[in-house]
Amino acid sequence: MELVIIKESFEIEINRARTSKEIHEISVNYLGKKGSITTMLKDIKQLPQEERAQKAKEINVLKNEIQEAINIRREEIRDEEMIAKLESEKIDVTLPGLYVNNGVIHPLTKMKLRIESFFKTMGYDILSGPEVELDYYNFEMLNFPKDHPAREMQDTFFIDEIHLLRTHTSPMQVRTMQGNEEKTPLRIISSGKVFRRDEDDATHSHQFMQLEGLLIDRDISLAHLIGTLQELARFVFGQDRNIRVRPSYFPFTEPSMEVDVDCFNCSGAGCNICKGTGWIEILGAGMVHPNVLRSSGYDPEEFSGFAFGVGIERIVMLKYGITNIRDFYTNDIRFIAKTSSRDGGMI
Amino acid sequence: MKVSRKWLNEYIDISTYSNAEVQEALTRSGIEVESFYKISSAQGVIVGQVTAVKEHPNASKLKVCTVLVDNNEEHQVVCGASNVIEYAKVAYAKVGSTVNGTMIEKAEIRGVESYGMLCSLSELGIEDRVIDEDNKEGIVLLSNSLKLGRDVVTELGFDDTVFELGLTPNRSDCLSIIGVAYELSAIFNIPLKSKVISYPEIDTDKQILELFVSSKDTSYFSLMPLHKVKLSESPQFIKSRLMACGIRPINNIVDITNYVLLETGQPLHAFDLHKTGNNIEVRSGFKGEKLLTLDETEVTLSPKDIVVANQDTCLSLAGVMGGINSRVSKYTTDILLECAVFDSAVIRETVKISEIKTDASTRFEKGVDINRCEMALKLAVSLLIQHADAKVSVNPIVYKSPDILENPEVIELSYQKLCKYVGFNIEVEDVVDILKRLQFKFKYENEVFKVQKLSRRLDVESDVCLIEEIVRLYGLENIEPVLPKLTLKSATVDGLDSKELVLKGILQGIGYSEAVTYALTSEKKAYVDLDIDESLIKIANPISSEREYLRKSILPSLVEAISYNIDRQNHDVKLYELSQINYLKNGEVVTGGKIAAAISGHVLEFPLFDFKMTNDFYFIKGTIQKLFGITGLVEGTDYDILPSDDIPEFFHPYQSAKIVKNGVIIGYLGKVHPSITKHDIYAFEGEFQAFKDIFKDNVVVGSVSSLPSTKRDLSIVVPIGTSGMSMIKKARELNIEDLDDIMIHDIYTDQSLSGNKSVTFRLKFSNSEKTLTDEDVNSYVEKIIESFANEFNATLR
Repeated sequence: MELVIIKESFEIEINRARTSKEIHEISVNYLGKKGSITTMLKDIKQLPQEERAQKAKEINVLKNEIQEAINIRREEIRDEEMIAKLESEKIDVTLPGLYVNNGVIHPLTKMKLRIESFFKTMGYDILSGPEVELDYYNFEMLNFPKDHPAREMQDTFFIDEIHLLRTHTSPMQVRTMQGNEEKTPLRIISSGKVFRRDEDDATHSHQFMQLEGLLIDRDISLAHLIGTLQELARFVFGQDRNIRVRPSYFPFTEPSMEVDVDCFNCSGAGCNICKGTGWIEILGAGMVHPNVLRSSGYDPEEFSGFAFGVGIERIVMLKYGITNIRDFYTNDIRFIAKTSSRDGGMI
Repeated sequence: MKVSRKWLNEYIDISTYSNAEVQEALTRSGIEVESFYKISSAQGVIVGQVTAVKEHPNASKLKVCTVLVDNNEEHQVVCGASNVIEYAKVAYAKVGSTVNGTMIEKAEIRGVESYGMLCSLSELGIEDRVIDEDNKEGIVLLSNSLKLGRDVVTELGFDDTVFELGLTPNRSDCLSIIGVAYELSAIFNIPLKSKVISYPEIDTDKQILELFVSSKDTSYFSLMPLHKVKLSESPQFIKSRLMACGIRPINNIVDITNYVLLETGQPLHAFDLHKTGNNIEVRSGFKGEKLLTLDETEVTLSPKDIVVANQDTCLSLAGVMGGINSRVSKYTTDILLECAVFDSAVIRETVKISEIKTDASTRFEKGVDINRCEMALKLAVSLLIQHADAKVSVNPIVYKSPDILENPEVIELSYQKLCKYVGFNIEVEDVVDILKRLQFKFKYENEVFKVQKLSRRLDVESDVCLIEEIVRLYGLENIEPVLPKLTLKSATVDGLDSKELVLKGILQGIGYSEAVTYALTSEKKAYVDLDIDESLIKIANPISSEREYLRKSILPSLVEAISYNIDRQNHDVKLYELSQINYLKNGEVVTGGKIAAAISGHVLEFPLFDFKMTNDFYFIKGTIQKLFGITGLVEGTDYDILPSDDIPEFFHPYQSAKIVKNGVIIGYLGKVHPSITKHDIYAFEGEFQAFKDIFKDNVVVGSVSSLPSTKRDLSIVVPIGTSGMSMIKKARELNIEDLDDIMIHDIYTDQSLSGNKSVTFRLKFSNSEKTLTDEDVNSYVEKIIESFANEFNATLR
């Protein structure tokens, strides 16, 4: 066959090809083992010696042209086919997605862990204690003698003459100090459920979560307590917060104080959250009373220390604008998820 | 404690400070002022006189009054009060005045025009609780001596501000006007005014009484006889101040004792002298002795109580309340006024047992100032002379306990300790100034402050108390915050805590959210199972039967929380809780922990994608497998989940199982019994300790094989009752090392299988050294088939 005819027929076929399969067939027909070009190259031997080189050269030029054209066309068709395939796979991306719900930690636990993490960086040990306590640890060793008027500050659930539901996490102060036989310096955080005989309403709960801190060392001062609490307030409520300390009274600390943080919502101008005062009460604290140190075996002339107690509910309520304390205990999953996840705050 | 500003002014001039400044200053020094408010916020209410009262033409209960406010100014006012009468002087709120925050306007009431209103005390802003009997119903009828047109609020003494104090238990010294004045004097550095009490000269030592004090708990007791008293209404200023401070006026004698109590903090009691007689004894109560108190409670006395008595009978429960038998009545002409100091602990005990709490007992319980008794009694006597026409002829008879020290004790505070405690070098002059302002008597010698205790500040009893006094007046806000310099150390975390977090993380990953429920609940909801030697801890003084017992199980509360969610249309819920529990075992308190989870609704539900997975028994079982699986524990090998006849009745009997590990039941799971909830709720509860125990401190994990594993499905036919787990266990017992996993892939049965079922297992084999050949795997599968055939009568399908 003449090369010109082959070339012409190839051009017609290649232009007609629409699929990868057709291209493949063309490739086989021309360049395959039994393809016309291959056959022509084989047939060269039958030509006279002097024509062979010239003919081979011409065939090879055509072969290269064909190969080139097939490659180009193959690419084109591949692209077209890919476009068609993708088009056929079109979906409505505006339909809702499919997901598995994750669970979240309770907002009270989250805040507890958060405050614990702060104190861990300062080397405070993390402990927990029993909810059924002895009067001895809950009151007596904390400088609330029997029938002390201050016991009325903490309306108590009694079990019998010696057992009660702890009204605060402070018994762990005594348990830890007494348990430390060497009477060496201490740094602890202890948190958990505490109970007061209050009727439940929007701001009172017969059960709530408290976090207690205690530091005993040599030369610990009021300035150290205030410094530590200021850092805590900034960690929880933001670096630009300031605290205000007011004298108060707890039998197991002296001097005692209550600590307010300037309102993170209005920065002190006065709003709903701070009831117009610009300040929000967040915790009670004080220097450990010498009677408490003494009854736990520490010499108050050698050691001093401070203690503080944080109501976790109160902190979470203030931080997230929650107005009903009962929300923490009804466990509506919408509340748990919303309160625990929205601010993206780390644990 | 409520404090009137005008009353304070009798003791200290704080006119240069605004109410807000007083609030701020007191709060900053430790006397929290919760709020302050005007006694009456009414404006423009004036004294009027009713000159005519006519029936309302259209309403039988209303009257049409003519009110004269000036010689020639009269207004028509419609009034509904039944006590409105002609010629009465009334509190008239004319058009344009403000009452209870509302501007009074001209109105038409049932067709009659009304220009303003006649006010009751309640409308003027007085709390109903403290309004005296005479003014309880209807409008307030004013004294005839008041001039027409004058401002009623001013005339009644209601133009005053009240500070409401939230006192801490140690500051009972501020339960009086004088106490608060002392505090303000120290804060503002303003001297106290000296109050002059007009008290008659009595130049006789004669006594008409005989007093015998045998009670050791009485450190001071004085009695003053007063004669020819006239019982009547108190003067307006006394009534107004009592009402402002939250006490209801009764009659001049009672009111004056209350007035002195508020002003001085010293409780007084008035007896009818004719009923007591002249021989008075202060003694311990007799066992079983009874007294009917003024509030008509019959109190049974004990030797712990202190009583005031005559030869025949007990007359009052000392420090708490008088007896009816010696009370002042409208027939009283001569009275006996008692002013005393009783031991605070004894009064506390009496209050606790008798359950009677009064303004007097509140003060005695916390301690009163023995050095103020004489002044308080004099103040009361002078008021009774002025306002009850009382006559005095003798001086009071006074008993003082021999135990009272002549000289006050001295507290020593070293300057060095003070500086160490506050954390900086406070100036000595500042300390001296503060102690002076607080009116302490002290010396500063050899760097030690030697300070005399004050009888009015019983709470200041040691050096740290003095430090507190110094810093609260120095201003806590003036102390520069410093972080303590501590020795570096790593924090240890209670082992429980970190393991707890791992378990919580897994549960949250599977979609459970953490719940926190109440530890106190009803008896019924307090447990799932209770052994014969176990019982619940009961609260002796519960708020309600709903919160009476400490729970041994979390699960009932968790199921309640799930129901709460379902009722609020949150149908797909998964909750878990980890909590301490407490109960009694052989009478001893046991503190333990439980882990529980409960689910309802769907794991996933996307109808749009035809995708739905429902929470059921197998999901809750899978949760347990997942938890134990963290450390590689395998069901059937390391623990078992087994059906049982002794599952607590909390669960559905045929969709429940016990969790057994090392031969011990560590928990239960299953569908919650339909008698407990109408919802389909599945749950488990286990011993927290058992779940914690799966973690080991030192674990060698090794690496994971990089060679591909081989999967093989095996379908067999076995009798229908053959348990799935028993077959899996059998296969595992063959100890085929290369068998990684055996899972049940499919189970089905139909009639053609006649009482049998077809079970398809999916087997996974691998070897860390080589890729397994077909021959290897076939030989393993043969082994399994053979053992199934022998054990379960299984045939290959």
